[in-house]
Amino acid sequence: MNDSTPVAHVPDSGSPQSPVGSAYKAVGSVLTVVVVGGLLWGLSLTVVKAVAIFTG
Amino acid sequence: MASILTRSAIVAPKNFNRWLIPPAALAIHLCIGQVYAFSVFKIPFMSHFDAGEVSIGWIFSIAILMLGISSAVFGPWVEKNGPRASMVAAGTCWVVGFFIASLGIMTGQLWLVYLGYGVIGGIGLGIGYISPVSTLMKWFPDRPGLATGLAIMGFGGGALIASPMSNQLMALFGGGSDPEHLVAGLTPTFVTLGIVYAVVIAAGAFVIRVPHPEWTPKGFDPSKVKAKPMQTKGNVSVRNAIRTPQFWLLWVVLFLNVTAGIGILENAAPMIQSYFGITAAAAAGFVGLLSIGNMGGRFIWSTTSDYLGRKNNYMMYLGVGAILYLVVALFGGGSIFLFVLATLIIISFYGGGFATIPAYLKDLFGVYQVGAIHGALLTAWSAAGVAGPLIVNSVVEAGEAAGKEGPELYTPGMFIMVGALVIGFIANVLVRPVSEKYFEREEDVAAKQAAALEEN
Repeated sequence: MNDSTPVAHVPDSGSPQSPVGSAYKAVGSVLTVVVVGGLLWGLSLTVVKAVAIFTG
Repeated sequence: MASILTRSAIVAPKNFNRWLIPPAALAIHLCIGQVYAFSVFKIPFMSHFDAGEVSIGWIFSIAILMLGISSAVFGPWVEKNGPRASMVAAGTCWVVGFFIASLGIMTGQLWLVYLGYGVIGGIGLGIGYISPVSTLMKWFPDRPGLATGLAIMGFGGGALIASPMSNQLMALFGGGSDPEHLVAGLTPTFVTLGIVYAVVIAAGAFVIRVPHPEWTPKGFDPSKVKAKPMQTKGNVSVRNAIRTPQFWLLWVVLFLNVTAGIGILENAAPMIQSYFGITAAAAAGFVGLLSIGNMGGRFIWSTTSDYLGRKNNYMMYLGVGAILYLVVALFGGGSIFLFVLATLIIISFYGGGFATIPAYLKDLFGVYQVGAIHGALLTAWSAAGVAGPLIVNSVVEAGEAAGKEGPELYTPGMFIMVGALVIGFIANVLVRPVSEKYFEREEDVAAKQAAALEEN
Protein backbone atom coordinates (compact mmCIF):
# COMPACT_ATOMS: atom_id res chain seq x y z
CA MET A 1 0.00 0.00 0.00
CA ASN A 2 1.28 3.45 -0.93
CA ASP A 3 1.28 5.73 2.13
CA SER A 4 2.72 8.84 0.45
CA THR A 5 0.53 11.97 0.27
CA PRO A 6 -1.09 12.26 -3.16
CA VAL A 7 -0.06 15.38 -5.12
CA ALA A 8 -1.70 16.62 -8.32
CA HIS A 9 0.46 16.43 -11.42
CA VAL A 10 0.15 19.75 -13.21
CA PRO A 11 2.64 21.19 -15.75
CA ASP A 12 4.91 23.96 -14.42
CA SER A 13 3.19 26.34 -16.86
CA GLY A 14 -0.19 25.66 -15.24
CA SER A 15 -3.40 24.50 -16.92
CA PRO A 16 -3.09 24.41 -20.70
CA GLN A 17 -6.74 25.57 -21.02
CA SER A 18 -5.95 28.91 -19.35
CA PRO A 19 -2.52 30.13 -20.47
CA VAL A 20 -1.03 33.17 -18.78
CA GLY A 21 0.01 35.11 -21.87
CA SER A 22 -0.11 38.70 -23.06
CA ALA A 23 -3.95 38.75 -23.26
CA TYR A 24 -4.14 37.57 -19.64
CA LYS A 25 -1.68 40.22 -18.47
CA ALA A 26 -3.52 42.94 -20.41
CA VAL A 27 -6.93 42.02 -18.94
CA GLY A 28 -5.39 41.65 -15.46
CA SER A 29 -3.76 45.09 -15.67
CA VAL A 30 -6.91 46.83 -16.96
CA LEU A 31 -9.00 45.13 -14.29
CA THR A 32 -6.58 46.28 -11.58
CA VAL A 33 -6.81 49.88 -12.84
CA VAL A 34 -10.63 49.69 -13.03
CA VAL A 35 -11.16 48.29 -9.53
CA VAL A 36 -8.56 50.45 -7.78
CA GLY A 37 -9.59 53.55 -9.76
CA GLY A 38 -13.27 52.89 -9.10
CA LEU A 39 -12.66 52.51 -5.39
CA LEU A 40 -10.59 55.70 -5.19
CA TRP A 41 -13.21 57.60 -7.22
CA GLY A 42 -16.07 56.49 -4.95
CA LEU A 43 -14.03 57.07 -1.81
CA SER A 44 -12.96 60.58 -2.76
CA LEU A 45 -16.52 61.58 -3.79
CA THR A 46 -17.88 60.35 -0.45
CA VAL A 47 -15.16 62.10 1.57
CA VAL A 48 -15.66 65.39 -0.30
CA LYS A 49 -19.44 65.17 0.17
CA ALA A 50 -19.18 64.32 3.86
CA VAL A 51 -16.64 67.03 4.63
CA ALA A 52 -18.49 69.66 2.59
CA ILE A 53 -21.78 68.91 4.29
CA PHE A 54 -20.27 69.06 7.77
CA THR A 55 -18.24 72.20 7.15
CA GLY A 56 -21.05 73.83 5.15
CA MET B 1 -13.84 17.51 -22.70
CA ALA B 2 -12.53 19.73 -19.96
CA SER B 3 -14.56 22.82 -19.22
CA ILE B 4 -12.67 26.09 -18.98
CA LEU B 5 -14.67 26.79 -15.83
CA THR B 6 -13.43 23.93 -13.65
CA ARG B 7 -10.77 24.21 -10.97
CA SER B 8 -8.42 21.99 -12.99
CA ALA B 9 -8.63 24.42 -15.94
CA ILE B 10 -7.41 27.43 -13.97
CA VAL B 11 -4.27 26.20 -12.23
CA ALA B 12 -1.68 28.98 -12.35
CA PRO B 13 1.95 28.50 -13.46
CA LYS B 14 4.44 27.70 -10.72
CA ASN B 15 6.02 31.18 -10.89
CA PHE B 16 2.73 33.12 -10.93
CA ASN B 17 2.47 36.60 -9.35
CA ARG B 18 -0.24 36.18 -6.69
CA TRP B 19 -1.01 39.92 -6.56
CA LEU B 20 -3.10 39.55 -9.73
CA ILE B 21 -5.65 37.55 -7.73
CA PRO B 22 -6.99 40.22 -5.29
CA PRO B 23 -8.19 42.51 -8.16
CA ALA B 24 -10.12 39.54 -9.61
CA ALA B 25 -11.72 38.91 -6.21
CA LEU B 26 -12.36 42.62 -5.73
CA ALA B 27 -14.06 42.75 -9.14
CA ILE B 28 -16.93 40.52 -8.08
CA HIS B 29 -17.23 41.97 -4.57
CA LEU B 30 -17.32 45.56 -5.85
CA CYS B 31 -20.12 44.59 -8.27
CA ILE B 32 -22.32 42.71 -5.83
CA GLY B 33 -21.60 45.31 -3.12
CA GLN B 34 -23.98 47.51 -5.11
CA VAL B 35 -26.71 46.03 -2.90
CA TYR B 36 -25.61 48.39 -0.07
CA ALA B 37 -26.40 51.34 -2.37
CA PHE B 38 -29.93 50.17 -3.05
CA SER B 39 -31.33 53.05 -1.00
CA VAL B 40 -30.58 55.48 -3.88
CA PHE B 41 -33.43 53.81 -5.80
CA LYS B 42 -35.86 53.87 -2.88
CA ILE B 43 -37.56 57.21 -3.54
CA PRO B 44 -37.67 56.85 -7.37
CA PHE B 45 -39.12 53.34 -6.90
CA MET B 46 -41.76 54.57 -4.42
CA SER B 47 -42.80 57.20 -6.92
CA HIS B 48 -42.68 54.90 -9.98
CA PHE B 49 -44.61 52.00 -8.41
CA ASP B 50 -46.78 54.25 -6.25
CA ALA B 51 -45.75 52.02 -3.33
CA GLY B 52 -44.87 52.60 0.31
CA GLU B 53 -41.51 52.40 2.05
CA VAL B 54 -42.19 48.91 3.36
CA SER B 55 -43.10 47.46 -0.07
CA ILE B 56 -39.94 48.88 -1.63
CA GLY B 57 -37.85 47.94 1.41
CA TRP B 58 -38.74 44.30 0.77
CA ILE B 59 -36.58 44.28 -2.38
CA PHE B 60 -33.42 44.77 -0.30
CA SER B 61 -34.61 42.44 2.48
CA ILE B 62 -35.32 39.59 0.03
CA ALA B 63 -31.88 40.05 -1.54
CA ILE B 64 -30.09 39.84 1.83
CA LEU B 65 -32.22 36.88 2.92
CA MET B 66 -31.36 35.06 -0.31
CA LEU B 67 -27.69 35.92 0.22
CA GLY B 68 -27.58 33.90 3.45
CA ILE B 69 -29.70 31.03 2.12
CA SER B 70 -27.82 30.65 -1.16
CA SER B 71 -24.37 30.90 0.41
CA ALA B 72 -25.33 28.06 2.76
CA VAL B 73 -27.01 25.93 0.08
CA PHE B 74 -24.47 26.46 -2.69
CA GLY B 75 -21.34 26.59 -0.47
CA PRO B 76 -20.39 22.94 -1.11
CA TRP B 77 -20.99 23.46 -4.86
CA VAL B 78 -18.73 26.53 -4.83
CA GLU B 79 -16.04 24.55 -3.00
CA LYS B 80 -16.26 21.66 -5.47
CA ASN B 81 -16.34 23.67 -8.69
CA GLY B 82 -13.83 26.37 -7.85
CA PRO B 83 -13.79 30.15 -8.12
CA ARG B 84 -14.24 30.65 -11.88
CA ALA B 85 -17.39 28.52 -12.20
CA SER B 86 -18.82 30.18 -9.08
CA MET B 87 -17.99 33.70 -10.28
CA VAL B 88 -19.67 32.96 -13.62
CA ALA B 89 -22.74 31.51 -11.87
CA ALA B 90 -22.90 34.45 -9.44
CA GLY B 91 -22.39 37.01 -12.19
CA THR B 92 -25.08 35.40 -14.34
CA CYS B 93 -27.62 35.48 -11.50
CA TRP B 94 -26.69 39.05 -10.54
CA VAL B 95 -26.89 40.41 -14.11
CA VAL B 96 -30.04 38.45 -15.04
CA GLY B 97 -31.55 39.82 -11.81
CA PHE B 98 -30.88 43.37 -13.03
CA PHE B 99 -32.42 42.64 -16.44
CA ILE B 100 -35.56 41.06 -14.95
CA ALA B 101 -35.86 44.01 -12.56
CA SER B 102 -35.55 46.36 -15.57
CA LEU B 103 -38.46 44.52 -17.19
CA GLY B 104 -40.42 44.93 -13.96
CA ILE B 105 -39.71 48.68 -13.90
CA MET B 106 -40.62 49.05 -17.57
CA THR B 107 -43.94 47.19 -17.18
CA GLY B 108 -44.74 48.57 -13.72
CA GLN B 109 -44.71 45.08 -12.15
CA LEU B 110 -43.11 45.28 -8.69
CA TRP B 111 -43.19 41.49 -8.27
CA LEU B 112 -40.74 41.18 -11.15
CA VAL B 113 -38.32 43.41 -9.23
CA TYR B 114 -38.76 41.18 -6.15
CA LEU B 115 -38.07 38.12 -8.32
CA GLY B 116 -35.23 39.61 -10.36
CA TYR B 117 -33.21 41.78 -7.98
CA GLY B 118 -34.40 40.13 -4.76
CA VAL B 119 -34.52 36.39 -5.43
CA ILE B 120 -32.29 35.76 -8.49
CA GLY B 121 -29.90 38.64 -7.76
CA GLY B 122 -29.83 37.56 -4.10
CA ILE B 123 -28.70 34.06 -5.13
CA GLY B 124 -25.91 35.75 -7.09
CA LEU B 125 -24.99 37.71 -3.97
CA GLY B 126 -24.59 34.56 -1.85
CA ILE B 127 -22.54 32.62 -4.41
CA GLY B 128 -20.49 35.68 -5.35
CA TYR B 129 -19.70 36.64 -1.75
CA ILE B 130 -18.06 33.30 -0.94
CA SER B 131 -16.67 32.49 -4.40
CA PRO B 132 -13.17 34.04 -4.10
CA VAL B 133 -12.66 33.68 -0.33
CA SER B 134 -11.13 30.20 0.01
CA THR B 135 -9.06 30.75 -3.16
CA LEU B 136 -7.58 33.92 -1.68
CA MET B 137 -6.66 32.10 1.51
CA LYS B 138 -4.85 29.45 -0.55
CA TRP B 139 -2.89 32.20 -2.33
CA PHE B 140 -2.06 33.97 0.96
CA PRO B 141 -1.42 31.19 3.50
CA ASP B 142 1.01 33.57 5.23
CA ARG B 143 -1.54 36.42 5.54
CA PRO B 144 -5.12 35.11 5.21
CA GLY B 145 -6.61 38.06 7.10
CA LEU B 146 -5.10 40.55 4.65
CA ALA B 147 -6.34 38.50 1.69
CA THR B 148 -9.94 38.16 2.81
CA GLY B 149 -9.96 41.74 4.09
CA LEU B 150 -9.06 42.94 0.60
CA ALA B 151 -11.95 41.07 -1.05
CA ILE B 152 -14.58 41.74 1.59
CA MET B 153 -13.55 45.41 1.68
CA GLY B 154 -14.80 45.41 -1.93
CA PHE B 155 -18.28 44.45 -0.77
CA GLY B 156 -18.34 47.51 1.48
CA GLY B 157 -16.74 49.65 -1.22
CA GLY B 158 -19.23 48.60 -3.90
CA ALA B 159 -21.77 51.04 -2.52
CA LEU B 160 -19.27 53.92 -2.66
CA ILE B 161 -19.05 53.42 -6.43
CA ALA B 162 -22.63 52.31 -7.16
CA SER B 163 -24.29 55.11 -5.23
CA PRO B 164 -22.88 58.11 -7.19
CA MET B 165 -22.80 56.11 -10.44
CA SER B 166 -26.50 55.20 -10.15
CA ASN B 167 -27.48 58.80 -9.38
CA GLN B 168 -25.47 60.10 -12.34
CA LEU B 169 -26.91 57.45 -14.70
CA MET B 170 -30.51 58.18 -13.62
CA ALA B 171 -29.91 61.91 -14.18
CA LEU B 172 -28.22 61.27 -17.54
CA PHE B 173 -30.93 58.96 -18.93
CA GLY B 174 -33.80 60.87 -17.35
CA GLY B 175 -32.61 64.25 -18.61
CA GLY B 176 -32.04 65.95 -15.23
CA SER B 177 -31.66 65.45 -11.52
CA ASP B 178 -35.21 66.37 -10.49
CA PRO B 179 -37.22 63.53 -8.92
CA GLU B 180 -39.36 62.94 -12.04
CA HIS B 181 -36.26 62.78 -14.23
CA LEU B 182 -34.62 60.26 -11.91
CA VAL B 183 -37.75 58.07 -12.18
CA ALA B 184 -37.63 58.31 -15.98
CA GLY B 185 -34.02 57.13 -15.94
CA LEU B 186 -34.63 54.00 -13.84
CA THR B 187 -34.95 51.37 -16.60
CA PRO B 188 -31.90 52.33 -18.69
CA THR B 189 -29.89 52.73 -15.46
CA PHE B 190 -30.67 49.16 -14.41
CA VAL B 191 -29.83 47.84 -17.92
CA THR B 192 -26.55 49.80 -17.97
CA LEU B 193 -25.56 48.61 -14.49
CA GLY B 194 -26.30 45.02 -15.58
CA ILE B 195 -24.03 45.37 -18.63
CA VAL B 196 -21.20 47.03 -16.64
CA TYR B 197 -21.35 44.32 -13.96
CA ALA B 198 -21.38 41.57 -16.65
CA VAL B 199 -18.15 42.94 -18.16
CA VAL B 200 -16.33 43.45 -14.85
CA ILE B 201 -17.33 40.05 -13.40
CA ALA B 202 -16.40 38.31 -16.67
CA ALA B 203 -12.96 39.95 -16.52
CA GLY B 204 -12.57 38.83 -12.90
CA ALA B 205 -13.54 35.25 -13.82
CA PHE B 206 -11.00 35.34 -16.67
CA VAL B 207 -8.19 36.51 -14.37
CA ILE B 208 -8.88 34.28 -11.34
CA ARG B 209 -6.51 31.31 -10.85
CA VAL B 210 -5.91 28.64 -8.21
CA PRO B 211 -2.34 28.04 -6.99
CA HIS B 212 -0.12 25.39 -8.55
CA PRO B 213 0.17 22.39 -6.17
CA GLU B 214 3.93 22.98 -5.84
CA TRP B 215 3.64 26.75 -5.33
CA THR B 216 4.36 28.51 -2.04
CA PRO B 217 4.90 32.23 -1.40
CA LYS B 218 8.53 33.34 -1.54
CA GLY B 219 10.24 32.87 1.82
CA PHE B 220 7.27 30.96 3.25
CA ASP B 221 7.82 27.42 4.46
CA PRO B 222 4.61 25.91 5.87
CA SER B 223 6.57 23.32 7.86
CA LYS B 224 8.47 26.06 9.72
CA VAL B 225 5.40 28.11 10.61
CA LYS B 226 4.81 28.20 14.34
CA ALA B 227 1.12 27.44 14.87
CA LYS B 228 -0.76 29.99 16.95
CA PRO B 229 -2.92 28.67 19.81
CA MET B 230 -6.21 28.69 17.84
CA GLN B 231 -4.78 27.48 14.53
CA THR B 232 -5.48 23.89 13.60
CA LYS B 233 -3.20 21.66 11.55
CA GLY B 234 -6.15 19.50 10.51
CA ASN B 235 -9.03 19.88 8.09
CA VAL B 236 -12.74 19.62 8.86
CA SER B 237 -15.48 19.06 6.26
CA VAL B 238 -18.53 21.33 6.20
CA ARG B 239 -20.68 18.35 7.23
CA ASN B 240 -18.63 17.90 10.41
CA ALA B 241 -18.02 21.60 11.02
CA ILE B 242 -21.71 22.32 11.60
CA ARG B 243 -21.71 19.61 14.28
CA THR B 244 -19.05 21.38 16.36
CA PRO B 245 -19.81 23.84 19.19
CA GLN B 246 -17.18 26.18 17.67
CA PHE B 247 -19.31 26.70 14.54
CA TRP B 248 -22.38 27.66 16.56
CA LEU B 249 -20.41 29.88 18.94
CA LEU B 250 -19.07 31.75 15.92
CA TRP B 251 -22.61 31.87 14.50
CA VAL B 252 -23.72 33.65 17.69
CA VAL B 253 -20.66 35.94 17.58
CA LEU B 254 -21.31 36.98 13.96
CA PHE B 255 -25.05 37.32 14.52
CA LEU B 256 -24.60 39.65 17.50
CA ASN B 257 -21.77 41.67 15.96
CA VAL B 258 -23.89 42.28 12.83
CA THR B 259 -27.00 43.04 14.90
CA ALA B 260 -25.04 45.66 16.87
CA GLY B 261 -23.73 47.25 13.66
CA ILE B 262 -27.22 47.40 12.22
CA GLY B 263 -28.27 49.18 15.41
CA ILE B 264 -26.22 52.15 14.22
CA LEU B 265 -26.68 51.77 10.46
CA GLU B 266 -30.45 51.46 10.55
CA ASN B 267 -31.01 54.80 12.30
CA ALA B 268 -27.79 56.70 11.67
CA ALA B 269 -29.34 59.76 10.04
CA PRO B 270 -32.35 60.30 12.35
CA MET B 271 -30.22 59.50 15.41
CA ILE B 272 -27.58 62.19 14.78
CA GLN B 273 -30.34 64.67 13.93
CA SER B 274 -32.13 63.91 17.20
CA TYR B 275 -28.93 64.21 19.23
CA PHE B 276 -27.54 67.41 17.71
CA GLY B 277 -30.33 68.98 15.64
CA ILE B 278 -28.25 69.01 12.44
CA THR B 279 -29.80 69.21 8.96
CA ALA B 280 -30.84 66.17 6.89
CA ALA B 281 -28.06 66.98 4.41
CA ALA B 282 -25.43 66.95 7.16
CA ALA B 283 -26.89 63.67 8.42
CA ALA B 284 -26.43 62.23 4.90
CA GLY B 285 -22.76 63.24 5.12
CA PHE B 286 -22.52 61.32 8.40
CA VAL B 287 -23.99 58.23 6.67
CA GLY B 288 -21.29 58.60 3.98
CA LEU B 289 -18.61 58.67 6.67
CA LEU B 290 -20.06 55.51 8.19
CA SER B 291 -19.78 53.68 4.86
CA ILE B 292 -16.10 54.64 4.75
CA GLY B 293 -15.68 53.34 8.31
CA ASN B 294 -17.43 50.11 7.31
CA MET B 295 -15.11 49.64 4.31
CA GLY B 296 -11.93 50.69 6.10
CA GLY B 297 -12.68 48.40 9.05
CA ARG B 298 -12.95 45.42 6.71
CA PHE B 299 -9.41 45.89 5.47
CA ILE B 300 -7.63 47.34 8.52
CA TRP B 301 -9.02 45.05 11.23
CA SER B 302 -8.85 41.90 9.12
CA THR B 303 -5.20 42.65 8.31
CA THR B 304 -4.33 43.27 11.97
CA SER B 305 -5.89 39.89 12.84
CA ASP B 306 -2.92 38.21 11.11
CA TYR B 307 -0.77 39.61 13.94
CA LEU B 308 -3.17 39.81 16.91
CA GLY B 309 -5.02 36.54 16.26
CA ARG B 310 -8.69 36.26 15.20
CA LYS B 311 -10.02 35.54 18.69
CA ASN B 312 -8.29 38.62 20.11
CA ASN B 313 -9.65 40.75 17.29
CA TYR B 314 -13.18 39.60 18.08
CA MET B 315 -12.57 40.36 21.77
CA MET B 316 -11.85 43.90 20.64
CA TYR B 317 -14.86 44.16 18.27
CA LEU B 318 -17.27 42.91 20.92
CA GLY B 319 -15.65 44.21 24.13
CA VAL B 320 -14.57 47.66 22.98
CA GLY B 321 -17.77 47.84 20.87
CA ALA B 322 -19.89 47.33 24.02
CA ILE B 323 -17.94 50.05 25.86
CA LEU B 324 -18.33 52.47 22.93
CA TYR B 325 -22.07 51.80 22.72
CA LEU B 326 -22.26 52.56 26.44
CA VAL B 327 -20.28 55.79 25.94
CA VAL B 328 -22.67 56.90 23.17
CA ALA B 329 -25.72 56.04 25.28
CA LEU B 330 -24.44 57.85 28.37
CA PHE B 331 -22.33 60.73 27.04
CA GLY B 332 -22.86 60.82 23.22
CA GLY B 333 -25.25 63.75 23.36
CA GLY B 334 -22.56 65.96 24.92
CA SER B 335 -20.18 66.12 21.99
CA ILE B 336 -20.73 65.59 18.26
CA PHE B 337 -17.04 64.73 17.90
CA LEU B 338 -17.33 61.96 20.50
CA PHE B 339 -20.56 60.70 18.91
CA VAL B 340 -19.14 60.55 15.36
CA LEU B 341 -15.84 59.01 16.50
CA ALA B 342 -17.51 56.32 18.63
CA THR B 343 -20.05 55.36 15.95
CA LEU B 344 -17.34 55.28 13.28
CA ILE B 345 -15.29 52.85 15.37
CA ILE B 346 -18.38 50.69 16.07
CA ILE B 347 -19.11 50.51 12.32
CA SER B 348 -15.48 49.69 11.56
CA PHE B 349 -15.83 46.74 13.99
CA TYR B 350 -19.01 45.69 12.15
CA GLY B 351 -17.07 45.61 8.85
CA GLY B 352 -14.05 44.04 10.54
CA GLY B 353 -16.25 41.22 11.86
CA PHE B 354 -17.35 40.30 8.34
CA ALA B 355 -13.82 40.38 6.96
CA THR B 356 -12.14 38.48 9.81
CA ILE B 357 -14.61 35.59 9.99
CA PRO B 358 -13.27 33.60 6.97
CA ALA B 359 -9.74 33.58 8.43
CA TYR B 360 -11.15 32.64 11.87
CA LEU B 361 -12.92 29.68 10.21
CA LYS B 362 -9.72 28.71 8.42
CA ASP B 363 -7.82 28.76 11.72
CA LEU B 364 -10.40 26.50 13.36
CA PHE B 365 -11.44 24.17 10.53
CA GLY B 366 -8.54 24.30 8.04
CA VAL B 367 -8.68 25.44 4.44
CA TYR B 368 -10.19 22.23 2.96
CA GLN B 369 -13.88 23.32 2.81
CA VAL B 370 -13.63 26.76 4.39
CA GLY B 371 -15.69 28.36 1.60
CA ALA B 372 -18.65 26.07 2.26
CA ILE B 373 -18.34 26.52 6.05
CA HIS B 374 -18.23 30.29 5.53
CA GLY B 375 -21.37 30.01 3.38
CA ALA B 376 -23.19 28.11 6.14
CA LEU B 377 -22.15 30.71 8.74
CA LEU B 378 -23.52 33.58 6.65
CA THR B 379 -27.05 32.52 7.64
CA ALA B 380 -26.18 34.48 10.82
CA TRP B 381 -25.99 37.61 8.65
CA SER B 382 -29.46 36.97 7.18
CA ALA B 383 -30.88 36.37 10.66
CA ALA B 384 -29.28 39.58 11.95
CA GLY B 385 -30.58 41.43 8.89
CA VAL B 386 -34.09 40.59 10.08
CA ALA B 387 -33.55 40.79 13.87
CA GLY B 388 -31.42 43.96 13.95
CA PRO B 389 -33.86 46.37 12.29
CA LEU B 390 -36.76 44.69 14.11
CA ILE B 391 -35.18 45.34 17.53
CA VAL B 392 -34.09 48.90 16.74
CA ASN B 393 -37.35 49.97 15.09
CA SER B 394 -39.52 48.30 17.76
CA VAL B 395 -37.67 50.17 20.52
CA VAL B 396 -38.05 53.50 18.68
CA GLU B 397 -41.75 52.87 18.01
CA ALA B 398 -42.37 51.89 21.64
CA GLY B 399 -40.59 55.07 22.74
CA GLU B 400 -42.71 57.21 20.43
CA ALA B 401 -45.88 55.54 21.74
CA ALA B 402 -44.73 56.37 25.28
CA GLY B 403 -44.30 60.03 24.31
CA LYS B 404 -40.49 60.04 24.30
CA GLU B 405 -38.51 62.14 21.83
CA GLY B 406 -34.96 63.04 20.82
CA PRO B 407 -32.04 60.94 22.14
CA GLU B 408 -34.39 59.23 24.64
CA LEU B 409 -35.86 57.29 21.70
CA TYR B 410 -32.54 55.59 20.94
CA THR B 411 -30.97 55.08 24.38
CA PRO B 412 -32.89 51.83 25.29
CA GLY B 413 -31.87 50.29 21.94
CA MET B 414 -28.24 51.08 22.71
CA PHE B 415 -28.41 49.32 26.06
CA ILE B 416 -29.88 46.27 24.27
CA MET B 417 -26.92 46.37 21.88
CA VAL B 418 -24.50 46.55 24.83
CA GLY B 419 -26.13 43.39 26.19
CA ALA B 420 -25.93 41.71 22.77
CA LEU B 421 -22.24 42.52 22.46
CA VAL B 422 -21.49 41.23 25.96
CA ILE B 423 -23.20 37.91 25.11
CA GLY B 424 -21.18 37.81 21.87
CA PHE B 425 -18.00 38.49 23.87
CA ILE B 426 -18.75 35.53 26.17
CA ALA B 427 -19.46 33.27 23.15
CA ASN B 428 -16.10 34.27 21.67
CA VAL B 429 -14.31 33.55 24.96
CA LEU B 430 -15.77 30.03 24.87
CA VAL B 431 -14.28 29.25 21.42
CA ARG B 432 -11.58 26.57 21.75
CA PRO B 433 -9.62 24.63 19.13
CA VAL B 434 -11.70 21.97 17.33
CA SER B 435 -11.37 18.41 18.61
CA GLU B 436 -9.29 16.11 16.40
CA LYS B 437 -12.20 13.65 16.20
CA TYR B 438 -13.77 15.96 13.59
CA PHE B 439 -10.66 16.03 11.36
CA GLU B 440 -10.66 14.41 7.94
CA ARG B 441 -7.88 11.94 7.19
CA GLU B 442 -4.98 13.92 5.73
CA GLU B 443 -4.54 11.43 2.85
CA ASP B 444 -8.23 11.73 1.91
CA VAL B 445 -8.03 15.53 1.83
CA ALA B 446 -4.85 15.48 -0.25
CA ALA B 447 -6.31 12.90 -2.63
CA LYS B 448 -9.50 14.91 -3.16
CA GLN B 449 -7.56 18.15 -3.66
CA ALA B 450 -5.22 16.45 -6.13
CA ALA B 451 -8.14 14.93 -8.03
CA ALA B 452 -9.86 18.35 -8.25
CA LEU B 453 -6.75 19.79 -9.92
CA GLU B 454 -6.31 16.89 -12.33
CA GLU B 455 -9.83 15.95 -13.41
CA ASN B 456 -10.40 16.56 -17.09
